[in-house]
Amino acid sequence: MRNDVAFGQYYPANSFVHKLDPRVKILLLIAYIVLIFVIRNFLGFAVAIALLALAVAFSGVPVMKVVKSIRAILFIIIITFIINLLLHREEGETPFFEWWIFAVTPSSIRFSLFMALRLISLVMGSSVLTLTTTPVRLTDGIESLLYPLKLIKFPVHELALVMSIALRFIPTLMEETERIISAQKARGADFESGNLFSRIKSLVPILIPLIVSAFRRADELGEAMESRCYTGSKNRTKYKKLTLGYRDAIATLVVAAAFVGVIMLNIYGVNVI
Amino acid sequence: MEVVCQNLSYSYSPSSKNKKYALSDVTLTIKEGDFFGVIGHTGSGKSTFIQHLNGLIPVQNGKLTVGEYDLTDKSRSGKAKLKELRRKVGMVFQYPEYQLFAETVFEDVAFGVRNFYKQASAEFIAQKVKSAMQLVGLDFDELKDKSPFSISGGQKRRVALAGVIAVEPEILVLDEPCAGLDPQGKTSLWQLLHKLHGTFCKTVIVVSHDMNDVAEQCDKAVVFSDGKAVACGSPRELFSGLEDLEKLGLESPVTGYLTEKLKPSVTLDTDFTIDDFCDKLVEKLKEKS
Repeated sequence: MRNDVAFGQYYPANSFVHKLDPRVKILLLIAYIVLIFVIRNFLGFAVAIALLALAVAFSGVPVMKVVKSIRAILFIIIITFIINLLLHREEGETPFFEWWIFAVTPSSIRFSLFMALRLISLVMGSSVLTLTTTPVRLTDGIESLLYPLKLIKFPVHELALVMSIALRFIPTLMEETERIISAQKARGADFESGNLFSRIKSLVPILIPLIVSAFRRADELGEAMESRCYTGSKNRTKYKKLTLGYRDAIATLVVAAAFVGVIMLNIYGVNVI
Repeated sequence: MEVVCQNLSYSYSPSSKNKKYALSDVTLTIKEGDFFGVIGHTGSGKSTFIQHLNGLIPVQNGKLTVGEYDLTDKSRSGKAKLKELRRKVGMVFQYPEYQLFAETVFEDVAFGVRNFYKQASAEFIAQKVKSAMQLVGLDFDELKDKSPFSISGGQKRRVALAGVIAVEPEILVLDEPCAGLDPQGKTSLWQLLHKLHGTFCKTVIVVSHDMNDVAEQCDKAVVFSDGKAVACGSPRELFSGLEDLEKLGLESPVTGYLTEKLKPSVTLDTDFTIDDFCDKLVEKLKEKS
């Protein structure tokens, strides 16, 4: 079960990408995602993948770790690929293969590959961010980016706190889940047989104790914070201040260059497939 | 049912290069009728070990048999027997009250019964639940319709315990059953376990890190350290080697320390229970005067 959450787990290293300011990393990731959706032909993906490869190369994270992040959504990728392949159709095409409402046409092959590539580069790009940024720095970055919303009385600090607490408790709750599953299995619970309905019903003995324990933990944590006189964002200072450096400038320039490249390809490029 | 394990090893990351073993080369026999203690630090492998006993953790290396069940058997028939084994080996986890889920105490205790006896009649279930609740000292009529979340902590633990013993396991395994209980609750829990030991539960296996409890309650115990079973024997054998225990970072029961302190003047041959220790001390004092 633990392997399923490998996507997005921080990989400690001291690389160029690790040292980037988390705010810059978040913004660049957003830019990268926009870039992926702007791409109109396959050559554009060459640019996006080159950018991704560059980021991975300078992150010190093993390539396999990034590639493995796809595993979490592999199922979705395959399903969308198959659906697009069979259902996408453009007017006036001769299909290679046709059966009932399904047909494989040149454009459906192109389109389904396109979507699959889009999803893969999306997930791999996001995993570079989470692999190279600790949850604390990530929430610090988000808090700082959302700072302007304070003007309209939006509780930015509280939101960031909620996020970091949520991230912090994922492993704890996973552990708890495993323990509860073991305990109910020992009492003869069976999660693997029966029809869909009885399988869903068999989750009740896991979910209820899990929710109860999540509330209990929340209560305890709240009490612990109150007893330390935690009052939220007011007059709070930070131990680690976020500062922009030359690295951030370089990274931004590289992404901007990729953006220009993709737009140029969209306008002047020819579709190779 | 006898538990026999031979060269049992287990690693949580079997594919990684420098494997760390949670259990390594454990050879151990727990006889039917034992009140058996499992001692060790956090991370010494004791929890991994007990979860092997009802197949929650599959055997990786080595052999393990519980009664007639061969847990090394990975075939289909072996897996089908697993459920039967789980009925016979009841397992009470640490803080068992955290796994209560049903709407009423009755339903929670009946959960195991319903799982293990698929075609059971309502009377059969009610009878099992009632006798289990009576065994753990809960008032059936008063509590059966209450929510398990509305009763006291001590009662919750008893409800959880009743849920395990309702199917009348032959071996009862408990992981730190006394954690978080007050002295009174502790005493009555031990009394309860001894009472159960005389009934269908022929063997009781208790994980504990309180040496006083082990000395006082168990006939035999095994010490785990770094995944290895480093010592096994009666409290008398285990606690006479005080230095060896300290080398493993474990404590001795209070009586062990007292015996050590008294050594220059009196040598006591005790089994380290408070009663026996006092008897032997009084004997020696009488001899002297």
